[in-house]
Amino acid sequence: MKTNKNLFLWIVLTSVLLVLAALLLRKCNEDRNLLAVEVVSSNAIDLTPAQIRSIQRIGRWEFLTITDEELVDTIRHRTLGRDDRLVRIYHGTLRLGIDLSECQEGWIFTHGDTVFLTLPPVHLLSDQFIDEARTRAFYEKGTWDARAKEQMYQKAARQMKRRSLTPANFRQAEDNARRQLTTLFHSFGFNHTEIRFNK
Amino acid sequence: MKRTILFPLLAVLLTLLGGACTEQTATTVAADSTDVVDSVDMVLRVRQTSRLYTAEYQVHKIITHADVKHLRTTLLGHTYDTRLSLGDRKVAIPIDVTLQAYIDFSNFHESQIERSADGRHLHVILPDPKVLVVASKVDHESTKQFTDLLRSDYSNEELADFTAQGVRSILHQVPRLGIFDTARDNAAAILIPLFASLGYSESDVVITFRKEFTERDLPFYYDESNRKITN
Repeated sequence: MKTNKNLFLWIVLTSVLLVLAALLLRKCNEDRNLLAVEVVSSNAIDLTPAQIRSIQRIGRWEFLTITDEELVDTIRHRTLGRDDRLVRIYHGTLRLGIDLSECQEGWIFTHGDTVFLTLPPVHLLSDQFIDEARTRAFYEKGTWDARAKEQMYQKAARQMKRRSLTPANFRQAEDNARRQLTTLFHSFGFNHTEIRFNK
Repeated sequence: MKRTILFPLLAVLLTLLGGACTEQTATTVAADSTDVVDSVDMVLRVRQTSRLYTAEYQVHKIITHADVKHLRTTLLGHTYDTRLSLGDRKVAIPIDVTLQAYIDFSNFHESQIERSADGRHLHVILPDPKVLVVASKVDHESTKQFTDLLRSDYSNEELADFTAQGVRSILHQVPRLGIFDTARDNAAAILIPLFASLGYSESDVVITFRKEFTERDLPFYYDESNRKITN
């Protein structure tokens, strides 16, 4: 009889403790200030200075911007086990236009209400067009060295050039240059603008 | 008994064979470089513009990150922070960023030109210069990682995140770099001779800009359009 009573007391006590524990946990969950334990680490980078390597005065007029994303996939075959693989998405912006420093003597002159322009050929304004800070590692398995990443970067650059530097895009840049410069010189009171591109 | 000896022997042989094969694969990779299997385009967007780029800055930065684990305990409103001895890891990423400043002539209007009554003097109010990141390049060869035994290396995803943070921190320093002064001076140096070719005397041409730039102008001067993939 006494054993049954003790058992009953233990059951009641355990139940009460369980309910209290559940209530405490619920309260802790609602109010993080009451009790919380977590392992934390910061993803923020340290504060370091930026150093200016060069300052250049330029005069480049851009008439067409091509924004491109390329997915580059590299695989390393293994004899045993699964192959290593790295998939990265590169982002680049290619700019087509003219470099005013390439204009020759007498490239601009006026006659009455007409302005005559002889412009250098439209070309890619900068060979550095990939924003690697915006590169996303889409899939990664295995360890990849600097050389592999550099090769992927070069591959992405080649693909972007192939896709963007088309005759159609160069034509579009020239057409836009004519349109924009005609509008600009019209603002200065010239009714006609004659534009010619050096080839 | 024989079987007991045979299994460990077989295991050792397989391990050695596996090691030899792995080494061979690594050698092949070093010799033949990586084997690019596939590549597809994701987005190609063409946009007509009219921007005069007048200044270019090459900025170098070493991005660093120290990953230290902490145990944070909160009890009755009080927070206790304990450094865990699980091992640390650190990384240093050198990066070169090309910034360019430009004047956008896409929306240039006749109202921004003032001419004197006699037609001799010309006053042009140019749009505010804007700055954008033209390119950024990580020096992978010089990137250094230091990882304790209990920790794994940084993933490419983590490294990409730190690099993006590094570029953002450079952009926040843009007003102090002096790129706007260079951009404005050079815009005048390019455009005044151009206007002189239209029949004006260089001394009669005045070019003005809106104002001096500070860090508060960041949302206005920084060209966000190129940081977005789609509209």
